[in-house]
Amino acid sequence: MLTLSGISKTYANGVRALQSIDLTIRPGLFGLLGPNGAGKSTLMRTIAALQEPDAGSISLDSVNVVKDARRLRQRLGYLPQDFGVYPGVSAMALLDHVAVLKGITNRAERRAQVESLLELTNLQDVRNKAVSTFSGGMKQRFGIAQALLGNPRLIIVDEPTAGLDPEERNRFHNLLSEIGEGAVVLLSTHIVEDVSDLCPRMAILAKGRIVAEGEPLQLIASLQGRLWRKTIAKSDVAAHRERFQVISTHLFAGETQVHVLADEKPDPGFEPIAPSLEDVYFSVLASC
Amino acid sequence: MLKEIVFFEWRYHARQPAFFAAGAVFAMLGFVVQRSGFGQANVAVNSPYLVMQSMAFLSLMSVFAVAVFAANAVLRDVEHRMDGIVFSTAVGKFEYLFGRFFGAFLATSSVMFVAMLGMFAALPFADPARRAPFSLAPYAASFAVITLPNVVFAAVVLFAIAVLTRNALATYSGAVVLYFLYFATAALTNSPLMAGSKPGAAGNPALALLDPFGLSAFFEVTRLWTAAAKNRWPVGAQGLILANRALWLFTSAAVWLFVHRRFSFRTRKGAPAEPLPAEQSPSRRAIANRPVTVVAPRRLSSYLSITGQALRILTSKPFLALLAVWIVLTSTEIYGEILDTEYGAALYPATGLVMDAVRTPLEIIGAILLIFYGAELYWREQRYRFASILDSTPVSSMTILAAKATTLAALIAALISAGILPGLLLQALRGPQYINVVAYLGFFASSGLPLFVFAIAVLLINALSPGKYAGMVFSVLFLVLSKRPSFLGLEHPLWAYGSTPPLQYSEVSGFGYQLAPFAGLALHWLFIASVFFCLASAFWRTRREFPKRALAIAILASIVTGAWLFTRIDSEDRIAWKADYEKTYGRFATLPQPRLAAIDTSVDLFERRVQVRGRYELVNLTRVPISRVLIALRREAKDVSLRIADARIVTDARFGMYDVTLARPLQPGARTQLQFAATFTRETFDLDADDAIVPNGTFLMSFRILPSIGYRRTYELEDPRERAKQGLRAARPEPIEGDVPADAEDIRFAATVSTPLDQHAIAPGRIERSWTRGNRRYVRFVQPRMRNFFAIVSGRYAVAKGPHNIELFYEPKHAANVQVMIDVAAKTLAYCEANFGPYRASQLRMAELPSSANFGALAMPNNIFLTEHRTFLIDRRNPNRPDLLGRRIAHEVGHQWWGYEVAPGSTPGSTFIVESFAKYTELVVLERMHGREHVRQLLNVDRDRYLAGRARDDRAETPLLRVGNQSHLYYGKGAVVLYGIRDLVGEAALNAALRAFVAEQAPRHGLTRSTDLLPHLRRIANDEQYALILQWLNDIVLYDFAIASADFRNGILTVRVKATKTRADGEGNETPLPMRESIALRVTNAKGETLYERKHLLDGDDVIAVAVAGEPLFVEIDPWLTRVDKKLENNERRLD
Repeated sequence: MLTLSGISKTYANGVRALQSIDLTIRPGLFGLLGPNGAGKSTLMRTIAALQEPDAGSISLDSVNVVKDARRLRQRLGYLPQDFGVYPGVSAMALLDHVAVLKGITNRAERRAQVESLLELTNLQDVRNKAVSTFSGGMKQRFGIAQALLGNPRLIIVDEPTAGLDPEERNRFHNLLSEIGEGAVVLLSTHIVEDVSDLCPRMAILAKGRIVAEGEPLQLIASLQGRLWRKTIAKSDVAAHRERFQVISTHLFAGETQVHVLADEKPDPGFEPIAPSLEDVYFSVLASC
Repeated sequence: MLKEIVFFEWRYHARQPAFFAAGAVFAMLGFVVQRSGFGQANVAVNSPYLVMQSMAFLSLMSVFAVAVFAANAVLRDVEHRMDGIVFSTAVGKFEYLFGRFFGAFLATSSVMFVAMLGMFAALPFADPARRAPFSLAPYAASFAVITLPNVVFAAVVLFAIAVLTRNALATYSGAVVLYFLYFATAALTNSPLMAGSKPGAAGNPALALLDPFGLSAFFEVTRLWTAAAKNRWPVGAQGLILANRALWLFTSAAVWLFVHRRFSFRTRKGAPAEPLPAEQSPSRRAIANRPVTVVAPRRLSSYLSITGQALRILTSKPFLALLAVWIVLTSTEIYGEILDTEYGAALYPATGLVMDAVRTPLEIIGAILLIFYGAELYWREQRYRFASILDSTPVSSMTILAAKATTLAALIAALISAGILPGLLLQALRGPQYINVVAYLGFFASSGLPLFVFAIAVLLINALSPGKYAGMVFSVLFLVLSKRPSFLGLEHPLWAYGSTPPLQYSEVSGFGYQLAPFAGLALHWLFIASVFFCLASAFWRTRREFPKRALAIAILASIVTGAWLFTRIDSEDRIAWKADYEKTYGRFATLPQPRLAAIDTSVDLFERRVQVRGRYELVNLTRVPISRVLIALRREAKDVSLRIADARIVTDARFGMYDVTLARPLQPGARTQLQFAATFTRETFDLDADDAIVPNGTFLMSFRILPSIGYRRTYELEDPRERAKQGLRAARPEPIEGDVPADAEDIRFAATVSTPLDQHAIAPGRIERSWTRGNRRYVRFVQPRMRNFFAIVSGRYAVAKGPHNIELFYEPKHAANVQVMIDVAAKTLAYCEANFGPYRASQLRMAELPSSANFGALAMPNNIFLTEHRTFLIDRRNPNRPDLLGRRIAHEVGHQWWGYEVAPGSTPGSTFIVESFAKYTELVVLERMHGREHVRQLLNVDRDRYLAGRARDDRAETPLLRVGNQSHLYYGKGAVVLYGIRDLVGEAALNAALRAFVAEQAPRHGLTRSTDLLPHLRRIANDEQYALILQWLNDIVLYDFAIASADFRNGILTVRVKATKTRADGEGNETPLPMRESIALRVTNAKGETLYERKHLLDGDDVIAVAVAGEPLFVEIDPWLTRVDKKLENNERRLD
């Protein structure tokens, strides 16, 4: 179990990246959703002990992450948002390298795990190719393979699907859903489907604060019966924003649809709709 | 658009931390160079010459700045992945390339400009005596002629490499290769800056063109400039400098065009070389991540794995290319050290010589390489964006840094191995028996260790720097200051981080006793490096750990070793010591003292220990009673006992002086005895010890182990500027007329020397008796009369004997030249006895000394000591090379007359009698052996040695009759002038005068003055000749002969000869003298046969018409170098 309490971080240039974050995360996939610049990567890097918080404490099981980073790292799998590799090193060699660094010292075990992870991530055919020549999807899968080395208790995947095509993303989702038996898997993303597809629990981070937390269905249920949709002309958007609590606008087949939050039907032009996680996300962002 | 791009670039660079770091560092370097008075001491620091020299040096360093800015200008797009955006914009190829280049060029030029400002700022602090009125002109000229073209060239080349390879390592390797070019040309042109600059090595001035920094060209142009010229004459784009600058600017343009042609915006990384296999759909079966055992990562396996990754840097193409060029560079160094040494002679390829050749370039190139590769390696994960993954593993930062340190150690090992490779090859080809594995191992240790501890410092500097480029710049500063802590006023040797004795290897004495002091210092620096290493770990980017315990242990250990070394290094300032000695005892220089009449001593040589005992017979030759006697004995002496009847002795331990008060004054003519005993040891960890006591080839000068009477002038400080700083009169007090220096006294000598059984002892005199007792061998030497100047030597020698009772003691491995040496010695003895007078000793002993002795050869009364690397290792297999061995032996045998038969006091001009005539002896003997042509070659080297030496000398030039301790005068000029006198009056007449002079002066040891020679010369010369001789000896006279035109028609050769003659003052200012002398004109044909040779009276501008038979090809004036001709190139003309 990963527990964060009162985590704050302010950068030297005055940006308050994190403000008193409290979270308790049980094993399983946990989605951390938030727009760009919300502080997700800062939070991920802080949990991964790559930087220290100004205040607050983090513990994984009974390990104090801030004080005992070393022990955390023995239990950590981390897929950074943006990573590169040494040029010309094959997938297998690089996995073996990271495995050694993670403390898998038994050579046979190490080899077996590298093999199984290459298979799991469907990279067995390119195991001897340099990772630096991989496509984006393959590289991300390599990233998850290296994160899974050493049976981590905490797996942090930071924006793993950004830039992947739908098929590759689908493949990556399947992969994520298969991992993390008994481990805390922290998935940070700005893509709602990543969370809705995968995560039994989630939180939304905006402007350095947790603005919502719970199970996706629970959060969706909280909007049940309060969400309305109307198709309007583009020129009317501003007027609607003034009159109603517009949480999002979408273009659909060239026309503009607004989603509005209201306890009752705001005006006859609106029709009730079933809320999605995306609506939850936008409603939360709109209110903060 | 171009303007905007350049402006953007400029702003970009001007905001980088590396730019400020570079500006600060170069301002400081400029300040320090100017402030420290770098350069020849009688030339003003802001004279045209020294300004250019200093700025040229700074521009050598500018390559670092260029590498930083040029690499950054190009590689930042790739490193920060901006290339996609930048390359897809509408920017044109020229705008992009030129904008980027010009930005980098501007940034570097600004940094160099700041360095110049630093020089200005230092001027008010410079020694006022060396400050000329300020003028901007030399700075502007140097900046325009040296700095800017250098920056242009370096920027173009590094920019080109960066553009074409997009590889940082390749760019840095390029920077290092630029230094190689400089080094190689400096070695090939025999640059005065290179440590091994030696007279007569066949440096080729034209090669100075190839120095991309123009330094060699600058030195070539100004090589013969005297101090007066250096202070006044402007240096700019002239002669070879102009040609050099033009060549490299042209090359820059060519490189630029090439880059422009080859560059393409298409990023080079297209499709993978080999298409990846098509993706299979993932296997349906769910694969569980297999459980594995995870333990705390083993340091060793993590370390090995990271090291394995990092070592790839050493198999990268840029590094391999660099090694290849490095091998070429060390080849030129080894060539210069072994195959083209003094006078162009070749040596046998001893391992010690290979080490000496590679040591200096390795020290410098290695450090430069570590600055670049250390920074690259430190930031490697960052650069490949692998840092987050690495840092999220539980590996400790110490492990990561240990892997990087290991990689740098491997780099150093690779560099050393590649560096000695040409040496090994040469040894395999020309003398496999000289390959010495132990010596090479010592070289790895002694050269590798300072580089390794520097590498650790580089890691720490990068850990503390905001980025790679700033790290490089700060490392440069650290390098300069750790090599020269005196720039900061820190004089103690323990400030010089990483400095260890160089571990020289002698075939005779091995490493001597240097290993233990080396190991002590090495241990200390390794502890300090451990402190740096722990700090670097603590400052690793994620600050993961602070190795408190390791740090505490390392600090403690360095304090312990540091304190221990501190007590073993004599921290007493030698200069202050000398000054204080003179201040304390100088007033006793005139104190009437008894003279030494006889020595009877016993010297027992043990391993690391020498025991002396003995008895001096003292006699009062003055007219006054003597009640106070000063005795000097080197202060390292232990267990000193001095006894004189009825005397009270006060000891001054600081100076090793013993003040003796006699209860009953010694009356004029009376005698007394001094009994003495002392022990000298070579302590295991003595860091200051000289190499007198070694396992084999111990060489003990008499004054090193025996007491002397009176004030020791040899302790005085010589350098006039240092004297002034210490509050002493600039000129050393002149010796008093009639005062005999202690080492010129006539004594009766007897010594009993004991050695281990396997060693031979050598001392002057006849062997009266030799015996063994226990495991020691004893020899009793006696010599009824000789000059008090001798040494005791012992070694495991083989002995060869020759005629005239000549004995040669040599290292058995070095037998190649033994017979020749004996032959030359015999010939010289015969010549000197026939021409100068009888040889008074009954034997002549020559012995080999290890290369640690800091001279080529030393003659003492009936003993001659010769060092291995400058005598025994001479390879005479090629008869066309100058006979360095022959001239050395003949010279030293000549000293038996010039120095020991005639023994002048230490008055001005004494070296003319001692050295110039030994030189003369050497040349006449060699002429008999090899002919006049051979001697002409040697004379030309001596002429050049004189002209180059007088240009470099920071003391005023004196005429030969008053010459002091200036070898370019007493050797170089002395040889030419005496050969000129021989040509003027004839050898027989000159030798007759010398014979008379020797006979007259032999009883006057210590009293002879150079002017005592003049009456003898007067007798053999006519008025005109004598006037000329006087002019040559009493003045500084220079000639310049030139064949202005030559024409051969109908058997008549018409030659126009111009001749000038000038008199120079001590600073080199010349005034014309009338010219009216007979000089030889020679005509030769294509085969080199002489068709015509006769002297003609020259008046300054003469047309000579002579009939010549045959087919003349060359006409030459003064073919045998009878005059000091400033410019030899115009003495010969080819007939077309």
